[in-house]
Amino acid sequence: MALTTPKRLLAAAGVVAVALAGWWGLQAIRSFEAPPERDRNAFVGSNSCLSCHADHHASWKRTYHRTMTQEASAQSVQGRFDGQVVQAWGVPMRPVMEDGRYYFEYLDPATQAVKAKVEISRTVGSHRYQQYLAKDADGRYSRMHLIWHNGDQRWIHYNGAFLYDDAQGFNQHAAVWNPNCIFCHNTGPNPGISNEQELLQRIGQGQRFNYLNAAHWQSTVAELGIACESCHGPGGTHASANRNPLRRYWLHWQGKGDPTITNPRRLPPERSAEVCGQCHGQRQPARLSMATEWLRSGPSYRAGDVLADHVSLVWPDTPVSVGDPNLFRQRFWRDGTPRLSAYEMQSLVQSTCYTQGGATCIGCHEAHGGDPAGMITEPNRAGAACLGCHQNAAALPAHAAHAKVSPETNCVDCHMPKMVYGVMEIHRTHRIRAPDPLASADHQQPDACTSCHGNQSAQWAADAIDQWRGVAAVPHGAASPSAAALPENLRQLFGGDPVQRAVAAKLAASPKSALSAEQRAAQLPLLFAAMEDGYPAVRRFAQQSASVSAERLALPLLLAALQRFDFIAPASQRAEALRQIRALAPKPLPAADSLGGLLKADGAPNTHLLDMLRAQADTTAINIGE
Amino acid sequence: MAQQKAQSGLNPAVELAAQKSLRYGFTALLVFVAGGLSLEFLHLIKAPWYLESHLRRELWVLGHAHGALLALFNLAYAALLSCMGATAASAGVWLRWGAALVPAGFLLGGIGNSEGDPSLLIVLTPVGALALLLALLLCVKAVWRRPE
Repeated sequence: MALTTPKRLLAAAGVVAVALAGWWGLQAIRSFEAPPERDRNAFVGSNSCLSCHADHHASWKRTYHRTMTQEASAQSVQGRFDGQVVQAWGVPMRPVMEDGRYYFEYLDPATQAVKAKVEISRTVGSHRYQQYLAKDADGRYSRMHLIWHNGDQRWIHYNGAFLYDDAQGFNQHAAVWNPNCIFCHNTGPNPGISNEQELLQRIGQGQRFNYLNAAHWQSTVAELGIACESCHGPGGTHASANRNPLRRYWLHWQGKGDPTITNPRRLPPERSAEVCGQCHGQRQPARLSMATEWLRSGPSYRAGDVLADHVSLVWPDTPVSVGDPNLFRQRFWRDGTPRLSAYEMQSLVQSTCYTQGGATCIGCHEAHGGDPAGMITEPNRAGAACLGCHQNAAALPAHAAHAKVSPETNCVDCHMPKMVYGVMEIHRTHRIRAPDPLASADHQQPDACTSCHGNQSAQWAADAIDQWRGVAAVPHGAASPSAAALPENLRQLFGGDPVQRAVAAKLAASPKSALSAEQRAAQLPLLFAAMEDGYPAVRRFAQQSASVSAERLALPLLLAALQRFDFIAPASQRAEALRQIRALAPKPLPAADSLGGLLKADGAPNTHLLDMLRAQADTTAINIGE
Repeated sequence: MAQQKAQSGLNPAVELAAQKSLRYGFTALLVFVAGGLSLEFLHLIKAPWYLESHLRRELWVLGHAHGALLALFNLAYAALLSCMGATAASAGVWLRWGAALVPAGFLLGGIGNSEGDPSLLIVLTPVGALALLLALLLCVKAVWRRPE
């Protein structure tokens, strides 16, 4: 029977389709029998992912991960390059924009003449604040002195962002991007040190020099910012293998992971956490020999690897090869809990939720959803994820008792209290555990109970917990007598080390504080006293807390005066601003609660006791390594 | 009825094909215009299962657009069939199948789809496209045929 033209065409199309399907099928079977070896350096960039993963690309695009490092442009630059002079640490600077390019002019303090004009090449950060990088002829990207703070909408000299006192030099925190920031703020980083042999020879000859200034760099990144391949591994093999439609449909049908790419949700909990921990866990190369390799061709870890094969997490007892032997110890509270940001991994691995419950970062956080600030959904921000395991948590006596008086308090408020400093903010710890106020006081570290109940002592908090648990009259003797008597947060505000003081200042009158209006008013003079602290960061947090209280107490004039206080202005200007603030503050009332003696009977601060506490304060600067 | 057909002077096969395409065309136009309205409604209520899947949105918009345009194409075919001659009448069946399968593939491909690939029923679309191609081929053949 002769075929008609349409039928002939249909038959031909059918033959072509079968031939193609056979070819693809053969290739697919081969790729499953012997999965292609993943090329560890085949970075293809997020645009390659877009064609198949448009939704995930879109959800990533809204994150601060994407904008972590950017070329300087009208789209990326957030700072106000308006030509207004910014004076810091005695040096006037002027951020200016000319023909769509961005510059910092460094002026002569005496004549205001331009001494140097540096063009901004790249930006780092876009959430809390933005730093600026200038590139020189040796391929070196140097961090500029001014950062733009998005929350405060102002320029801040980076001395104000670190936990150092006022006696800092103008260039104290000079940093080079190539061997530092490049690693965690980009995808597929390769510092590309190009004169390493020469530097090693000079070291061999006994020369002493600053390698940051002597090194030449040919740094490259697969993609600026933290993109798809930071968390999913290089995608070249995956993209190539999945041009075969039968392979893709077979994977969809099976519902299994594709061995050519890493999906953190399909990894075991520890491997999954390590994907985040490659950056959110301060680390060093696993072996000293790897350090040179990192500088030459970039770090070796790829998402899905065993992190410990590539890096060693930094702990308090990690040896410091050069400089202050306590460098790392100072970054942890005395019980080993990290107190700086970018140590979340070290916190998590000390939590029983992780060691026994298999909790991992993406149990709470969403790389592709929720609020880009924190990468978390609102329910999880309030601890909803905890209920996945702790279904009956609300029935526990302490929980039920607390909920009666404060129903808005949630899991993370008490089990992940704010006690971590980083990027000019106080963050929650990721060491998840039950509060122990007396142990915290003993370890000279903040505590969930007394951070919120700012007018109460550690002993009061411990007694309250015991009472709820029905184990009253258990003897406590851990905390020192002064710790037991004074409001713990205020004790740490004046007698703590810089991180304690910063945390205490921030939490003293936070919006979620349990303080009544009267207690907020009574505490104001103490916050003004904390605004005299020798550390800019502490002054800023005290100013913020005082502002929250002024707002709550409906004191607009005081609030305006507080907002005029510049925490990094010269001492004389700050003193004058504080004088005006104190003049506008409500007259102290006779204190109903003397706050453990920190207030005198007339409501004024007990300067004698404050001075005693200040004398106890540890003034060691904390090198936070940002 | 038969008397009416005879009176119209048209080939009964042509008339039948035109009638089927008219029926299909108007019915499909009704369905796909209503479908467009439904898509707008999904925007109105910000349905996340529709708006947050780029591929589903694209497939359903394609299904709606192809369905409506091919319905119009069927109507045009029905209107012009008498000018094309009897040989074009055999194109009608391919045209209707094509006009149904192409949008059906897009719409069904957007159900149960993964992020990067439509579901397997997308295979209806190339089959429908092939049918449309054949219909067009037959129409081209008919309009180039020398008048008898």
